[in-house]
Amino acid sequence: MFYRIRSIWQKELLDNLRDRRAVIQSLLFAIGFGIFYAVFNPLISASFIERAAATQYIPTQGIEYADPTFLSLLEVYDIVLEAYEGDLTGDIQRGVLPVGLMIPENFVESLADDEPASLTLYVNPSATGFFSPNFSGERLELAINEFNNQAAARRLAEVNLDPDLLSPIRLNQESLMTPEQQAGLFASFSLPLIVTILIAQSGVFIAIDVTAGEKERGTLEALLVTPASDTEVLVGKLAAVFTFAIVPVTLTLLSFYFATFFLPESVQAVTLPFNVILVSLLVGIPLTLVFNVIVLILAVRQNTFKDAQSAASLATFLALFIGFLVAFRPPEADLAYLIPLYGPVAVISRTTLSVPLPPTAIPYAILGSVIGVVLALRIALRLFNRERLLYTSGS
Amino acid sequence: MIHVENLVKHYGEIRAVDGVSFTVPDGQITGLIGPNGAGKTTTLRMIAGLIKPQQGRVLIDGVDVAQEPQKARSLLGVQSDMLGVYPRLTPREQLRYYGRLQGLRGDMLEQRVETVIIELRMADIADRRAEGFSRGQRQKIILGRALVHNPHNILLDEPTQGLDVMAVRETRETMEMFKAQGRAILFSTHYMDEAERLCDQIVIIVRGKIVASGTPEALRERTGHDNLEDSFVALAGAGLVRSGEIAPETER
Repeated sequence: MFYRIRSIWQKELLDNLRDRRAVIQSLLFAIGFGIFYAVFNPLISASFIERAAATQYIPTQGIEYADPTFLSLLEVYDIVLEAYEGDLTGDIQRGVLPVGLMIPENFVESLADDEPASLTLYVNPSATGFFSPNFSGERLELAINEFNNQAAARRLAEVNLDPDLLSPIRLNQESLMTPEQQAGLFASFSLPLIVTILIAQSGVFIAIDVTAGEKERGTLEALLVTPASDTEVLVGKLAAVFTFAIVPVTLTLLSFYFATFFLPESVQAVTLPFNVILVSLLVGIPLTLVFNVIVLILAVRQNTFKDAQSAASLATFLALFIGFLVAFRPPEADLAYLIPLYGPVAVISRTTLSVPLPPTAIPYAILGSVIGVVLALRIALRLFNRERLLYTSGS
Repeated sequence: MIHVENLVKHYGEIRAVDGVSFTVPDGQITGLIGPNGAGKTTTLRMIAGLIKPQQGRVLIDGVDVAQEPQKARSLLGVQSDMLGVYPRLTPREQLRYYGRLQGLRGDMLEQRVETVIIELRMADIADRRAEGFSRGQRQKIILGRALVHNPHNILLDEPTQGLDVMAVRETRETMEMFKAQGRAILFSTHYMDEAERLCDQIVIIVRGKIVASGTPEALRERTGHDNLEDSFVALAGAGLVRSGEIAPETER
């Protein structure tokens, strides 16, 4: 039995190693994702760092009505109001400006009369994109809170009241998250998604070649008239698909780790801790096998390479679905890590986010994948039925 | 020897093969002929164990295909009508692969691969990748992988279809060589002259039923025609009349 499985595995490896498309696709994944990470990681980090460190300039109309104390306080928070002559709201709506402030004529009078002075802040984050240095409303909010506190204290002092009387609870919130950690927060969402799609896509080409490709070439019937059993044929082919798939998965994960090493020292980037890579590999390799069987299931009954490619694209959607599901609905119970596909992606996601995992999470995720492989393999074997596979024509 | 006994295969209402029985003796070439859609390929696929019959059985050298499919397949060499080869592998690699699937290994495997390459006169192409091979060259690979395990029983599904004159001649010579080696050969064809020239026995199948069988001479005598083509038309026509496919006057 193992001799035949090994023979099929060897043949498929040799055959596909000689297929330039299959090799290029595999290597492209590893190189492509590595470059992607090396390029976008510093960009994303830089975006968060710049946003945190840069002076915020806010185009403003009615700057002449502003209270000088208010302007001075904004400067403390590194916020500068700039006079804007154009159509402020129109330009913000059109995406020319990401933000703008409107100060009404009666701003100073309202303050003097102890009435609420209103400011209108217009924002349109789409003007600069999600990752570009952008306006942080948080900083302006802090500045205004500070101004309010100072003004309220002054007013209460004028009527001989202790300002603390009106603040039974004062919450001092201070974010200790560094810009690098902020970028890591993005990585925790994007990396599991990228890894899941990568895993779902790795081996697709060869999986199609060994199923629908065999049928399209007209070699399937010759294979099925040999004494090799359905199980031997399927397992042999799966072993070849898996071998082809884990190479780009491993290389890509390693490239995520090493990519930042090749960047100039002046470039700030988030280097993924090696344990994230190790855990991703640990749960990612069995997960690769699950996806390989799923792709085999999707491709096995297709008659042509193109049909199989269309069918196999479902695996990518499945990966996306699982990735988003994990991002928005992380596991609440330990047993959830046993769920095939969901468990391993959740482990990768949580590890990237540096969230402590339950001790059973990794073993459960691996066990879930093993169960998934067994179940999927049973389905694949049912579909890999000689008669149904072949009987597209007959005279 | 291949023994086919009362094979029945139907797909819903359609009876693709309907009670087919015949024997392919050792050292003889048996031709399975019939119009398109007669059930030839379905019959060959049932003999090869690719399709399960609803009724009947197939014995390959006494081994029941339904009971012991793997053993039966090891006793058979099957060349299908699909001319598919692996374009990125050389003929030698393809023969080696099929030899391994048949359980051959080591020196025995290499020896058999070499023998097949010599027998099928493919030494000049044996170590070239099969991409771009002609139909005749591909046919040699397909025949070679059916023979690599030295089977005693051989099924050939339209082996000369689409080949040029030289390739057809080579294939026919190869079949005669198999016969001389004492193998049991069953092949399907559309070419009456080929069947007449090669076959010791002919089985005519129409609409899934055998309408006549016997030596080419016996079939000619039975219909009173002096060539197999006319005999086939008469016998197949009669079969179609019986199955209600054509009206009796058409037969005349």
